Amino acid sequence: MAMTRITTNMIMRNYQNNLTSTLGGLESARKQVETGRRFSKSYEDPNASAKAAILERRYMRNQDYQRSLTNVQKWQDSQEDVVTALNDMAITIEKEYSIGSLNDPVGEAGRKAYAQALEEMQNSMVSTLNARFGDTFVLAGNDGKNVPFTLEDGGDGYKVLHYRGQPVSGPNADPAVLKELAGETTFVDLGFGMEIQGDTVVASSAFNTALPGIKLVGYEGDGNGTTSDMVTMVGKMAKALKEPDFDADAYKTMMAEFSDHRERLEDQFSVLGTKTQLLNATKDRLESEELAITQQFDDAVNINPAEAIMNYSWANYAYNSALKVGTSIITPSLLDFMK
Amino acid sequence: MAMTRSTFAGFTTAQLALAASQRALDVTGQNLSNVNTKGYTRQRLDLASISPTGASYFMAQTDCRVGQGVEMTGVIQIRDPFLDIQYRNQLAKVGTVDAQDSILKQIGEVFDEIDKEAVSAGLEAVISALDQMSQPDSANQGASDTLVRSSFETLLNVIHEHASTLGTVRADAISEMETTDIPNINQYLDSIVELNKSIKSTQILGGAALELQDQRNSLIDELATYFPIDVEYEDLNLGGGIKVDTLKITLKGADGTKYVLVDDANHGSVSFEADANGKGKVSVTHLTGKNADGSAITQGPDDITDNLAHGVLKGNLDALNKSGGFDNPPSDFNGIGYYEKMFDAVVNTMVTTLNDLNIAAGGGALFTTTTGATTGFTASNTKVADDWVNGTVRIITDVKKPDGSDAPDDTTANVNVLKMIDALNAKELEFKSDAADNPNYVAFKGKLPEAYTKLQNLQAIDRKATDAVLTNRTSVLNEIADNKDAVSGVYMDEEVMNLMRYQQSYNAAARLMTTLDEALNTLINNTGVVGR
Repeated sequence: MAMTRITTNMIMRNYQNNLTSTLGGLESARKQVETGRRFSKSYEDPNASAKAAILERRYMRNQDYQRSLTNVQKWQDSQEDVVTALNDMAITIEKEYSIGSLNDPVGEAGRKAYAQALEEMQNSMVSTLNARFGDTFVLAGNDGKNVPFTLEDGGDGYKVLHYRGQPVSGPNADPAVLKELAGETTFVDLGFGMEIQGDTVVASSAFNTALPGIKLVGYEGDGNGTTSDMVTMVGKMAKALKEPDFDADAYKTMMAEFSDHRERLEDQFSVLGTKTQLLNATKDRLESEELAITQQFDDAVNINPAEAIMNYSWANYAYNSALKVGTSIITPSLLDFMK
Repeated sequence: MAMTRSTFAGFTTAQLALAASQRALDVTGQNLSNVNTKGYTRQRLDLASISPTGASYFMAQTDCRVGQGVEMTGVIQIRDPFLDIQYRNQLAKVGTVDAQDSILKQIGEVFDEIDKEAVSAGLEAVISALDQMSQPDSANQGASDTLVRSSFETLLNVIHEHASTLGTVRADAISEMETTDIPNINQYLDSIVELNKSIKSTQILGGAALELQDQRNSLIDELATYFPIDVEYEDLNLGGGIKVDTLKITLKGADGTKYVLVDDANHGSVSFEADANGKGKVSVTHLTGKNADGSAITQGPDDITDNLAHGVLKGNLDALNKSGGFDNPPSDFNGIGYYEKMFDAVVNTMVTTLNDLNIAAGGGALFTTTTGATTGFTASNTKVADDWVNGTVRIITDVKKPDGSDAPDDTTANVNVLKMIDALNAKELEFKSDAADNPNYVAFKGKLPEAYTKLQNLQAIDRKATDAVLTNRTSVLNEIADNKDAVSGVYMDEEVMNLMRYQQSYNAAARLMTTLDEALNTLINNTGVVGR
C-alpha cells in the first residue's frame, strides 16, 4: 500500500469543497420548504417539468371546456324555452280553435274574431321563433346575426312563413335548399377530441349547438308529408275561418296536420333533453378531470411539507456537523508538541 | 604505514557540516513559511558525501581514507511532471464543460417557465380567446376578434422579449471572448515569456529560480484551461558547463497539428473574430522557427476554430457556432444557434399556418414581418398585421363554400375558427428550418405547444447533462490536485521533523568542532612542554 502524504493544503481544499457542497444541499432543501416545490428550475428535474408543462396545458383546456359548456348550457336553455313557448301556443290553438270548439253556431262574425286571434297567434309564434341569446338568434343556424323568420304575404290571403328569405312551405318553397338549411351545424369543442377532416368537423367529436328553426315547425320536403309548416298552417286556418262559406272538413284536415306538427314538436323536447343530459354528464366528467389534473400536478411538482421540512432538518444537521469538524481541521502538528 | 592526515583537515569537515545543516534549516524555513502559498512546490536540499581524493605515494595495504565532509549539490523542487500533464489535460476538459454550462444557464433563463408565465401561458390565452370566439353567441362579433388580436399581441411581445434576450446571450458570449478570454491568453503568453527570460538569467548566474518556476507553472495552469497544451523543457547548453532550461509550449490541435505558442523568448498570439451572423473564429499566429539573430519566424493567423478538442475556447465556440441538427451536416452540440433557429421555426410555423387558414377562407394575412412580408418569419420580426389592427383584415370565421365562394360576411358559422384552434392545439405540424443551406431539416413533427415544450425540455436536459459531466470532471480534477499535493505539498509534520533533525545535526557538527578543538588544543598547547 502506497503511503500518501496528507498535506495541509489538501486538507483545506477538500474541506472547503465538501463544505460548499453541503451548503448547497442545505440551500436547495431550504428552497423546497419555502416554495413548496420539489424543484425551481426545469433542469433540476427535466422529466417532472416536462410532465408539469403537459398537465398545465390540459388544465387550461379543461377550464376552456368548462367555460364553453356553461355557455352552451345557457344557449340550449334558450332553445328549450322557445320550444316550450311554441308548444304552449300550439296546445292553446288545438284546444281553443279545434273544430269541436267551433261547433256552436258562431256565425261569420264570431269566426272572423277567431281568425283575427289566429293571425295574432301567427305573429306571436314568429316572435318566439326569433328569440335571441345575447346578440345572436338561437334558431337561425349559421346566420345568427340576422332575423331568421319573417311572415310574407303569400298572395293567397294568408301570410307565409319565410326562413332566411326562403318560403318554408308552399309552391315557391325549394325542398333542396330547405333541406340544406335544416342540416346546418355549429360545432363547439367540449373536449370530445375534436377532429376536423378537410373543412368538415367530424360530428361525433364535437357538440352541435345549432337548431335551425324550420326543424321545429316543419318544412316542405322534410320527409313527414308536410304541406304547410305550423305557422303558415295557422295563417291558412285563419283564412279558412274568414271565408263566407266555412269548409269545416278542410278546416278539420288542416287542424289534423297542425296536431301532427305539435306532436313532432314534443319530440324535440326529448331530443333537447338528451343533449342536456350529455352536457350534464360532460360537466361532471370535466369537473373530475380538473381534480385529477390538479392532483397529478401536485404529485409531479409539489413536495409534501413534512418531507420538505425533514430534508431541511437533515441538511441543516449535516451542515452544522461539517462546520464543527472545521474547527478541528487545523490539526495540531508536531510544532505544538516541540519544547 | 597509513596515510598521514592533515592536522586541520577535520575542521573543514565540521565547517561543511555546519553550513549544510544551516542551509537545510533555511530550506525548511522556506517550506514552512510558504505552506499557504498557492502553487508552491516544496524544496529540498540535496546533499552528497565528498569522497576522499587523490592518490598517495605512501599507499599501504590497509587503506583508511575517510571522506571529506558533506557537499550541498543544490536546492531542488519535488514535483511530478507527469501529474502536471494529467492536471493540465483535465483542466482543459473542465474548461470546455464550464463554458458550455454557463451559456446553457443563460439560455435556461430565457426558456425556463417553471416559475413564470410567458410563451406557454400566452399561447394558452390565445387558444382560450379563439375558443370564446367559436361560441355560438359570440361568433363574428367584433369584440371577440379584438380579444383574439390582443392576446396575440401579448404573446408576440413575450416572443420578441425572448428573441432579444437570446441575442444578448450571443452578444455577451462574443464580448467575453473579445474582452476577457483572448486578451487573457495573450497576456499569459507574454508573462510566461518574461518569466522564461528571468529564469534563464537567474540560472545562468547559478541560481535555481525555483520560485520563478512556481510562478511560471501557475501561469501555464491558467493557460491550460483555454486549450489543450503540451509543455516541453529543453536543456540548452551555454558552454562552460552551464546548462539552462528552456520552455516550449505547443497548442495541440484535435487533428494532431501542433502550433508552437511559446519557444524560449518568443511567443505567438491568439485572435478572435465574430462575423455578421454572430459566429466566432479563433486564429493562432504560431512560431515555426528562429532567425539567426534569435527573433521568431511566425506563421498565421491560422484558423483553429474547428480544431480544438477541449478548453474554454472550444466551449464558447461550440455555443456560438453549432446549431445541432440545423447545421448541414448536423453538428454534435446544440448551441445558441439551435435555440434561436428552433424558436424561429416555432413562430414561423404558427404564424404561417394561421395566415394560410385565413387566406384560404377568403381573408387577408393576419401577421406580417416588420417589413410587411408574409414569409421568412422569425421570433424577432413577426408582428400582428397593421391591416388587422386597423380593421381592414379580420379573422374569417367560416371556410369557403364547396363551390369556392366566400362565406357571407356576417355568418355565425365557425368552422374556420375551429380549424385555427385545431392548428394551434391538436394538429400535427412540421417545424422546419428556414436556413438556405438546410431547408428540409424537420426539427420537430408534432403539435405546436409540444414544439415549444420540446425546446424547453431540451435546454433542461442539455443543462442537466452538462452539469453532471462538469461535476464528474471537476472531481477528477480534485483527485489529481490531491495527488499533486501529495507529492509537492508542504507537510507540516515532516518539516517540523526536519527542523528537529537539522537542529540536532547542527548541534552534532558544533560538538564535533568543539571536540576537534579540544584535541588540537591538547596537541598544540599541552604536548611537548617538558617539565613546564
